[in-house]
Amino acid sequence: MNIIAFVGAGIIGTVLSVVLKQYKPEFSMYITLITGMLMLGAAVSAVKPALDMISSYMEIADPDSIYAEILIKTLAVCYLTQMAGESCSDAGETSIAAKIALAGKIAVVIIALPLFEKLMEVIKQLLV
Amino acid sequence: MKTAVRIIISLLVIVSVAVIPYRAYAQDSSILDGYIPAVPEEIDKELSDMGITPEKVDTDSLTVDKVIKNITEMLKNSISSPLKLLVSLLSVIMLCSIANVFAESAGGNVGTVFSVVSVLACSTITVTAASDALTAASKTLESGSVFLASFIPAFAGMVAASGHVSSAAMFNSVVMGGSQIFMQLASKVLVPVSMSVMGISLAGGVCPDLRLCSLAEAVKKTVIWILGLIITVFVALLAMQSFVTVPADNVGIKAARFTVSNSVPFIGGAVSDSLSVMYGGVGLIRNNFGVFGILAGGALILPSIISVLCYKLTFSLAAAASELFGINSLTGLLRCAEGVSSIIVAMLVSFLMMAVISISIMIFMAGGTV
Amino acid sequence: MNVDFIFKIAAIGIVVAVLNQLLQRSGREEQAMMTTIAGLIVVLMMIVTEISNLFDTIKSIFNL
Repeated sequence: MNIIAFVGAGIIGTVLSVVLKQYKPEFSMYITLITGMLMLGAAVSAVKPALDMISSYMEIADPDSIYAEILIKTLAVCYLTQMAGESCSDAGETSIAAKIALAGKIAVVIIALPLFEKLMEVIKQLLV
Repeated sequence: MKTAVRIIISLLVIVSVAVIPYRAYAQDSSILDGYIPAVPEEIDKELSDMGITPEKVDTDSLTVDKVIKNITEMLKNSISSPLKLLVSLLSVIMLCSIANVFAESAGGNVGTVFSVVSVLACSTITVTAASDALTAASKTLESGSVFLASFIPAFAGMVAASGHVSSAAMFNSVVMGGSQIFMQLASKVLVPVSMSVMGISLAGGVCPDLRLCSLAEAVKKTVIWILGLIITVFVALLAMQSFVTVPADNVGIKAARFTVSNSVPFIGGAVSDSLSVMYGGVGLIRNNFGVFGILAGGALILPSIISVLCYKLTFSLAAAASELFGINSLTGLLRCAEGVSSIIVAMLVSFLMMAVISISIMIFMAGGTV
Repeated sequence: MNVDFIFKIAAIGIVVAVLNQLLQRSGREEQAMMTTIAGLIVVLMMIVTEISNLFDTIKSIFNL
């Protein structure tokens, strides 16, 4: 997890993108897209040990809990949706970005359905 | 001849008088024969291991370090599941803080969705744990009141047998009535109120715009105040009644002794003294029994109090952690759960105090004279 | 995290831009357009491989 590599890659990508924007705007979008993706991939790989530690703690605490998996999957969907949406809106296509965000929210709701079920059970217990 | 007959008669009377106190003593120890304390078996075994039985309380086993050792053991037994709860809550809070990056950036909507999901996860964990603690506490209260229901009449009977008849009657009625009222209050009012407070805080956690946390705080303060008021009124009533009945009983006892010593011809003094010995003997057993009651009640309720205190500690630590990481919706929810734990602890502690203080008042007041 | 990839794409982009200008100046408009499109397609191929790598990484980390 080399922060200097990150910063360097980001600055280089930005510069190249700006340079190419005057001549070939399509290429600048490619550069932005690929820089963003590379950095996201590296950052996510760097956060993996923390996620492993957190899910191992939750395994110890409550072996048959569904929370850790749901939360981590939701996190992944959020990261991906964010990145794609931002790239699209950078390229000027805000409507596509909005559709991507909508799809992400729907995916989150679907992943979190077991959580809603458990919540309904708890509320039933409270009311009884 | 007359002198010899007189001497023989007085010798016979003295011998028969000498026999009476022993018979009375034999009578005393059979008072407890029919008494089966309504205490759960493990506690009964623990107490008799420590030398505390309804018949006799071993003062050697009541040393401070033994008591502290027992309390630390109880603490260790009940700390494991709150700790697991704490670990789950802290993991969810850490995941939240990792994802909170989104809250500041442009694609804020996606970040809000994640925070809603994480609040839901946390709420489910918290509410499940809090309602488990609540049901366990009400079960403990039930078994405590069952124990009191079997203990108080037996104790009142002993107080009556040691001469304080009207005190015994007053004690029985006040304490039984008080414990019934308390049980009704706890099961019909306090438990539903706590459940609704948990529900309100759950709703408030999911939708942070409704500031429902202050409502939960207000309810908690009101409930604790009401509990304190009830206990104060109860103890004051009991003390005032004891102040009246115990001296009246003392006067009655002294009058009885005076009558006996003056009406029974030669041995009146000896008989009235043997009456005092008998009252003293029964008083000793009564005090032992009272101490047994206090210790058994404590052993019944104290583990539950300690476990709910551990849960309260867990919730407050998790609330502090989530405030540290800046997740405000979770902070409100966890503070409400802490409030509900406070309500449960207040309930249990008031019940224990009610039992202990009433028995102690009786022992102190009635043990003053013979 | 290979930064050379960015350089490669930037290099292709610059080459395509230069070729485009040259061909436009010398009057061959259609060939200029075709080089642009060819460059775009080549870069797209490279990027698609990299995107698929990224998605595999994310899938494996998060067990999606």
